[in-house]
Amino acid sequence: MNWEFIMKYLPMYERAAWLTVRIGAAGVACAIILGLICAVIQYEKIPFLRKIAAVYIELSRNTPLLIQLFFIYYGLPKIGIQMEAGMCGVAGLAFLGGSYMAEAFRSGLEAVADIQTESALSLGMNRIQVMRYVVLPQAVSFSVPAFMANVIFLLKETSVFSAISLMDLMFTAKDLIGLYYKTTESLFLLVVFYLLILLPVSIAGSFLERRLRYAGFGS
Amino acid sequence: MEEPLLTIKHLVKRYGDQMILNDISLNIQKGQAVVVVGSSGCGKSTLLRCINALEPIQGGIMKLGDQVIDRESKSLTGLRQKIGMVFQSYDLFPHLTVLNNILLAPMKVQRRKKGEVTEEAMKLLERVGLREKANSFPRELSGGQKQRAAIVRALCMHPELLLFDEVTAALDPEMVREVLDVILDLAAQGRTMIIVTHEMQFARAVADRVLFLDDGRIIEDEPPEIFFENPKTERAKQFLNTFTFHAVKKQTL
Repeated sequence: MNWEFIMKYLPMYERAAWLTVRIGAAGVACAIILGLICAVIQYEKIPFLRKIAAVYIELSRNTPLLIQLFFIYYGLPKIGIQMEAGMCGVAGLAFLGGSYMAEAFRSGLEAVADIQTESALSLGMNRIQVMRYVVLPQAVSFSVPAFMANVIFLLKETSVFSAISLMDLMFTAKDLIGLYYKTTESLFLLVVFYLLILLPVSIAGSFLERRLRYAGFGS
Repeated sequence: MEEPLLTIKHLVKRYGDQMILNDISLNIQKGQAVVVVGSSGCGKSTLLRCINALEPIQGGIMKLGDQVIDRESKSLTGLRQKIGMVFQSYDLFPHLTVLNNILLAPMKVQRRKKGEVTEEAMKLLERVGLREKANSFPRELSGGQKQRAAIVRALCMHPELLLFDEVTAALDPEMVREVLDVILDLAAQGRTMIIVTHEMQFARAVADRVLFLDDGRIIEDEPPEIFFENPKTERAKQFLNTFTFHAVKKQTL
C-alpha cells in the first residue's frame, strides 16, 4: 500500500465525497417527497392520479438506475429538457427512490388501524386533518425501518453517477486507476469514503427507529 | 312535547344482501340516556356507526336537531363535532400524550385556544381520576384508563349527543367498574347518550329507556324497570335469561 499516494489524492476523494453526499441528499429528499405524495394518493384512492402513480411506480422499480440516468441525461435534451449533470443525478435518484419510498410509506399507512381514522372522523376532523395529524405520523413511524433501508440503498446507487460524467467517488477511483494503475490504493479509498458516508446514516437510522417506536401499541 | 334531539325514520342498512338494520324508527329527547341491548350481531353497534355517519345507509333519514345526517353533506364534520363517540377498542392516538389526544380536535377543528381547552381538559381528567396521567402516552395506561381518557376526549368537543359502543367489552372485569362509573356520572349530569352494552345491571342503573334489538329491528322500547322485570316479547325473555344462572342441584349417583 502506497500511503504517499493515498495522502496525495485524499483531498480529491474528499471533494468527490462531498459531491456524492450533496447529490445523494438532494435526491433522497426529493424521493421522500415524491414517495409520500404517491403513497397518500394510493391510500386515499384518488381517481386518475392513482393510475399515474401506479404506472410510475412500476416503471421506476423495474428499470435500472443507469438506464434512467441515460434517459434523463441523453434522452430528455432531445425533447428540449436540458439539465446539468448534477441535476440529472438528483432527478434520477428521485425517480428511482420515489417508488421505493412510496412502497415503504404505503405499507406504513396500511399498518395504521382503521379505528384510528374512524375515531378521528368522529371528532369532526376532515380527511386532510385525519391524514396530517393522526394517520401520517403513525404511518411514518411504522415505515422507518423500510425507509432507512431505502435511504442507504439510494446512497449506494449513487455509484453509477460516473456514467453521466459526474466527478463522484466512483469516477475519481476509476480515473486514478486509469492514470496510475494504483488499483489497491484507489479502491481502498473508495471503500473508506463510502463507509464514512453510510455508517453515520445507518447509525442515525437505528437511533430514529428506537425514538419513533411509540406507534407500537402495547395494549 | 319538545323537538327530539335525534330523529331516525325508517333507517335501513344492508351489507350486500344481508339486512343489518331493518326499518328502524326512533326519537331521542334531549337529556335521555338510552341503552341498546341485544345479542351480538343484532345490529346495535351498526346503529351507532350509522348515527355518526361512519356507515353508508340504504334507506331512511336521520336528523340531529333539524340537521340531516348525511355522509355526502359538506357540513358532515360540523355535525360530527356535535356527536361524541367512544369505541370498544382503544382508539386513543398512540403517538400523542393523553392531554394532546384531548387537545387535538378542539384546537385543530374548533380552533379554540390552547389555554382554555387545557384548563377544561385538566378539570375533566381530574373528574375521571386521570389528572396525573395527562402527560403519559396511551401505551402507559391500563385499558380502563384509556377508555376514561377517550371519554374525556369526546367530552371536550362539547357534543350534544354521546355514543358509547360497548366501551367495556374489551376490558378486564376489575376495570369495567371505573369506566361505567364515569358514564353514570354523565347520566346524572343529564347528558344525552346512546349506550350499547352487555352489562345488564349497569344498563338498568343508567337507562331512562331500554331498546332491545333483534335481527335489525327494535322489538322493545321500555323504561328499564319494565324491560328487566316484565319483558313483553319471548325473544327478550330468552335474552335476559342468558344472564341469570340457577344454582346447580347435585345429583346423587
